Amino acid sequence: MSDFLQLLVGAVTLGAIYALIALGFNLIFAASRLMNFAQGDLAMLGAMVGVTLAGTLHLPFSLVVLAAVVVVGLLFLAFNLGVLRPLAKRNATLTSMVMATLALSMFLQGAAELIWGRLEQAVPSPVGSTPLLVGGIVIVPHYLVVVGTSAVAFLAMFFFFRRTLTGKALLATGFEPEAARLVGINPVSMVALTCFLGGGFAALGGLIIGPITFAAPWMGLSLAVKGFAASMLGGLGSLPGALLGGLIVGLLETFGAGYVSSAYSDAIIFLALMLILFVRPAGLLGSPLVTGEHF
Amino acid sequence: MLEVRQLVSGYGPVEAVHGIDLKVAEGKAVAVIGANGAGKTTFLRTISGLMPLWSGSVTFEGRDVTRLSAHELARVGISHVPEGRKVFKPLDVETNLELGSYSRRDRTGASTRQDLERIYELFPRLRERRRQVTGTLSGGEQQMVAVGRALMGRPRLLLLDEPSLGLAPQIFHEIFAVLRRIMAEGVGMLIVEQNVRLALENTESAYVFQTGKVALHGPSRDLLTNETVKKAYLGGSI
Amino acid sequence: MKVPSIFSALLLASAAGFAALTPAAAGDYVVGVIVPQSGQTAFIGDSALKAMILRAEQINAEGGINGHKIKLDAQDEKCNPTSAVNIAQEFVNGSGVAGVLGPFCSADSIAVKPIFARAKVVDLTVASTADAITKDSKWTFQIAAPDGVYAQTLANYAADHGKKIAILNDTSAFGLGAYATVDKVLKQRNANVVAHEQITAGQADLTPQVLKLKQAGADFVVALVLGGDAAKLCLTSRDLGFKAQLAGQTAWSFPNVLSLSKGACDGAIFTDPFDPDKPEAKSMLDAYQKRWNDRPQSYFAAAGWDALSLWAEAAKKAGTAGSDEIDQEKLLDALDNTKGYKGVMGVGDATINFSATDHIALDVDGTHLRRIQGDKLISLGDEKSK
Ligand SMILES: Nc1ncnc2c1ncn2[C@@H]1O[C@H](COP(=O)(O)OP(=O)(O)O)[C@@H](O)[C@H]1O
Ligand SMILES: [Mg+2]
Repeated sequence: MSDFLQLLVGAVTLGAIYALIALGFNLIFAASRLMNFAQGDLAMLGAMVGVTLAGTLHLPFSLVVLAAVVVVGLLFLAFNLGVLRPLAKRNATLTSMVMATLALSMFLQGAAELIWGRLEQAVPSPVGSTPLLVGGIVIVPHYLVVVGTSAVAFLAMFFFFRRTLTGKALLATGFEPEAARLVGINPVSMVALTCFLGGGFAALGGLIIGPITFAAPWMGLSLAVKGFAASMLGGLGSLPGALLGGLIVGLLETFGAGYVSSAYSDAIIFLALMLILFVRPAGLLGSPLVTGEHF
Repeated sequence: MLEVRQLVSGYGPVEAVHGIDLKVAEGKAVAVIGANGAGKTTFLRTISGLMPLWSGSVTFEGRDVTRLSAHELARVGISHVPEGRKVFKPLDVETNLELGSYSRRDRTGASTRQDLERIYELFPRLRERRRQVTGTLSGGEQQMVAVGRALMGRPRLLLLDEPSLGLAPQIFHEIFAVLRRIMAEGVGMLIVEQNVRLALENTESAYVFQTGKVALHGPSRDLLTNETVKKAYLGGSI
Repeated sequence: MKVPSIFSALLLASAAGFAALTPAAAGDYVVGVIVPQSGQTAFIGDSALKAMILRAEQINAEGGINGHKIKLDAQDEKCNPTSAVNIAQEFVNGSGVAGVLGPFCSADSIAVKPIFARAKVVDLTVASTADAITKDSKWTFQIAAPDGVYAQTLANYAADHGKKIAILNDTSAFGLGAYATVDKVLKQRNANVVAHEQITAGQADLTPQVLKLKQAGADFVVALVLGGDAAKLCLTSRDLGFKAQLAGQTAWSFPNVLSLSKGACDGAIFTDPFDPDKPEAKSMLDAYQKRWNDRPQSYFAAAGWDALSLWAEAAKKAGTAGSDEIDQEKLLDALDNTKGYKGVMGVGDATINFSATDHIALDVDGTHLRRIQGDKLISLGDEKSK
């Protein structure tokens, strides 16, 4: 039982990270139907900002969070304006724009290797490293930071989509781009907004997982793969889907390794993904109304 | 209030409308009729900025709006109810309507509430269904949402593309009753309709499109009795 | 306190001003060195290059080889195969080198192997541990102990000291290869293996694996994981109160792992081809201390020293007084006949022996285990005697 709870702590923490990556992924998808394959590397960049600002320059963590989110958000916004928009203007297909994000992913990885080197580096945590003992369960304080940050990010996004007209306009752009334009929504600024937010949330995810996994240029791939799996599981473009999908992937990974086989924990995730997609092609919370329209 | 001159537009290399001249006088209703594929939708979409205009010009209330893109045009006071309704299906009815006010710079919480009230008064069914996901509504109700959404922008000109398509007569009569109330308030209308009698009976003047050109135009009353129109579109039946 | 690598590179460059790195005069033996000198991996090359400079100065002071002075031409491989290949090509196609020492990083050594094989130039790799380094080419030598040898050393030590042994490996080529070796040895020795777990290299959370090792009651973990994963294993074990003896490969003692683990790897043991207390090592370390005012902890200095010494011994036989070029076939032959060479590398009485079919300097007898203790690396023998 205590092992179960101990695993649960790790599972929820991982799930919270994957949910954040999936959140950024889904935001961008919701407004533009674009799958951003650079999501993991934007997360890596967030962790690297942490290495430099928190590790080397010792800035306060809240400032580092702000800087990582803004810098990486702006970077992906610039990519949108400088690469994706011109491609779209030249009538590039969505597929070739997805390819462009893949190119960005490779570029970021190479650039990070040049700037920060190939070996893992520490990302400082804002809290101490002495584990808390709660009823025999060990909780590393930073795990609480991860879960808390992710929860705040999701609450903010739920508020944004439920309560603000801009949030609703963003969803509308994804559902019916033309009708959205006809009510006065500028799709270009909506997509730009999601690019900023998507990049920012990825950076946030990378920055807060950094103290657990360390930061390295190649860390983005596994984050992207797990985040993508979370997004598919929960339902592409869905906000609650990102949260649910992230948690499920975290649970599958941890309990798969803990109770089934540590060699096959990744395989278990993708087996579950395939099974769920077979039964519910749009993912657990994905709306068939949404996907049916666009594919 | 709307003046279209020599509008040319099309798809890829293919020209679909070939130089259309059309006028909507201040607060008047104008019908566009014509066979399937005549270019009516293309024409409306080009005016709205959803499609690039190849040549020609569009002026609205004396202002040149030829080069405005769709979201800018919405802010100028033109609302377009697109073919096939294009409601935001996964969102609830009220959110769809609220989004209709997006184009309004002077939007406030209170003004939106007031406008919503007015839409619910025009379409009482929508009030009942306000928290329902729009994709689960009937076709007629979805059309009401589409019209209501357009009205939320407080337009001075309403473009409607086949509002009666696929609807039961009692539903489209209900919708047209609302449209007449709006017209009475001085909102101009450009209505594309395949239900020719319905269109002609509810408008002052009409244009008949044929293969991307205006074949005929004049007062709606006259066209209702025009032999060619009768033969081609009215079939003597309705 | 680690000096930022750019400064150490500058220091080296200025030191070279009056050392063996000065421009080659006619008649010098130019030895090309492919070595990481910048960025995060500079620590790998730093002490090795210093040891080579020192050794070259000694040999030159004694009159050089066949009357020729040694001149080192050190190029930065950046621990990046592309850079290493470019340097190798430069050495092969340029004005020619009398010998090549390096690369250090395994991927780089594997990448340059075909270049030296095609050009028929002898290459003494310095710190590369991959098992494949000397495979399929008679021109490449390996001064560091290969991963397979480390794995064997680890397994033997585990069989001697562990009552309930657990194996943890990553699923990379390194981890799977090392696991196969460890598994074989432990089976041969009828050791009591109570658990075997795997991780994906770079895996975020090691809680499930560590919990399972703990559940199994393991008291000794043969941990075939590297870098950040090693640090994570130490940290997770500490957090979860898992107190078994952790034992890993030599890379556990590198500064990156020590700094990432923030002391959690204290007490862990690692395989090493270097014993600072053996006479040859002591005299090298003393000379190094005098020359550089510094004392290297890892085995890199020893590997650099031995690589240059082995080359020099062979060059004496292969070279002639008149020419600054060395016939590489003859050099290869001389190296292949190296027998009973007592190097700075290796432990106890182990000697380095090459043959036409064996280009690996060290075997199991040449390696032992050392312990991480604070910022020191200590020999297990030391500890026992206390
Ligand atoms: N997306 C499209 N791509 C290419 N041609 C189109 C497209 N939509 C319509 N057309 C063509 O343009 C012409 C006008 O179509 P449209 O404006 O939809 O007519 P209407 O609305 O009067 O039925 C037709 O010949 C039609 O085949
Ligand atoms: Mg049409």
